[in-house]
Amino acid sequence: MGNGGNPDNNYNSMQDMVLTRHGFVKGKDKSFLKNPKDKPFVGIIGIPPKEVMEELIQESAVILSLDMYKVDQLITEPTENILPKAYCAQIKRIIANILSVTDYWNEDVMDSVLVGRNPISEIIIEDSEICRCNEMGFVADYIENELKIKLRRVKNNDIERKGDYICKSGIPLDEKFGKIAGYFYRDIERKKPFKPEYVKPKCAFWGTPPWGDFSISNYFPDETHIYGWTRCVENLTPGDLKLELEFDPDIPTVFFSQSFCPKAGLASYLASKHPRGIFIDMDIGLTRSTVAKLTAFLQLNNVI
Amino acid sequence: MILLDAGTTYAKILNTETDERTVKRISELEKTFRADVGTGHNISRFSKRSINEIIALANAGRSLINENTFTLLDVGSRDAKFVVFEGGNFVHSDWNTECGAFTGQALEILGNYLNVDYSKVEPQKEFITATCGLLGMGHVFDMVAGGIEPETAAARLIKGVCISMYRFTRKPKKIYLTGGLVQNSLFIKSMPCETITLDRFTLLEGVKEYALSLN
Repeated sequence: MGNGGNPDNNYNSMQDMVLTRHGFVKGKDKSFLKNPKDKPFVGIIGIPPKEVMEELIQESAVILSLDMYKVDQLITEPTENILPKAYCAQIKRIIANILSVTDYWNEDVMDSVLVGRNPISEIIIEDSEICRCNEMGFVADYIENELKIKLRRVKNNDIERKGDYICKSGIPLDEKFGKIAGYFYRDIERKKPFKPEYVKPKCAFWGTPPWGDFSISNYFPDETHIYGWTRCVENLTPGDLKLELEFDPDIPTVFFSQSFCPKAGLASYLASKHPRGIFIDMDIGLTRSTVAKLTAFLQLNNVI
Repeated sequence: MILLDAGTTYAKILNTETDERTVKRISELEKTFRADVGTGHNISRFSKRSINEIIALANAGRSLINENTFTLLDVGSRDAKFVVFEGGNFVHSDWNTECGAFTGQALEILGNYLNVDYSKVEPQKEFITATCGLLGMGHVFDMVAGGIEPETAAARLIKGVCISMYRFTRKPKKIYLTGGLVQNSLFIKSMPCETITLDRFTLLEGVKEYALSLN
């Protein structure tokens, strides 16, 4: 079983990891926030188009992915009076992340915190018709009206596919997710793309990254190919629905979605069309029942 | 060997040497009780070794059902799970865990609360769409408040659970049924397809196969 070299299946390599354009930063390492007052501090939700990201780089902005900023299981409390209880945990996480950004600020900027201002100067939300998430667009009003943070809605219509080397490689699944997120920034910074070797698949994972609990990756073998929206991200075409709909009918495939996510309908439908597919959803974190369902599926298909 | 299926509400115990079979409430199991091998939601509390419930169900199906192509559905108090085999090969499985679950437990609570003896109730054609046990109970209470007899309202919920299980298993012509709900004759009569009932010790057949493979 591929577990990223860690024998503990409960290990979550993404726990407390902060994704910045400099890659993943561990916990409260604030090095990337040096002199934040001198730079625009921009939160992004989803995958903004290339030209928007290039503009931010030119401005030397500190870019914070609010999808990943703070992986925290206790995300319900800050959103309790804002969002319904039965609601997408990823959107709850994004709102909680925005509200908790002040946790990461040092004493130099505490004055802005004390007067109740959120230090994020602008939030850019990718709000394409078909992309990562249509639901977030409805919650964006809250960000703008209640938190008084400047909001920019952008559409990502990038269609030039850059390839899916990471998705079809033999590196552990949790590392694949991390490298795909990192690849997005590597491309913006014009670094050489990461192109690991192709490996013959034993099974596949279809869907968005499992933000709620990356430890689900530990139950998959390294020879797991990635399809769905995550594959679109590696291709740098997050709105490419045609690509997102693809799957390999010859390999057992787990169709994953966040609970209460509109993409759950797509995942469930594709799972019913796949000869050996299963639909799995996850709310705030991984449950024992979900693990049992997943491992039984992989075992009965002779994957593990 | 002592084998145990430790479900959410009931423990099913099989002594392989005497073939004695016992059913107890989980709450009545002694805290020191330890089976040799087991399965089920609560198994880690009561057994030295365990096997995944769906694997146990698949093993049991292959062992007990004299057909190469079959759908075996286990409806318990907390969840439902099924396996499908075609030509002797595994093709599908699924397990409803949170949403869509707690139906068995809800029906038991509802029967006790409304004082309904399900064995004396006729199946209904109309049904309540049961997203989960809790929401289903809410609909039943609304119906009763609206003047519908408690027996009829509860039977409509059971019909809804049956329709939901039928769709969950991808609408097969025939379903082999096991789990706690097979004790409920109204549930069996309300299923919209042919059913063959296996007893509630079925999972333990799958556990036994696994236990024997360990020796």
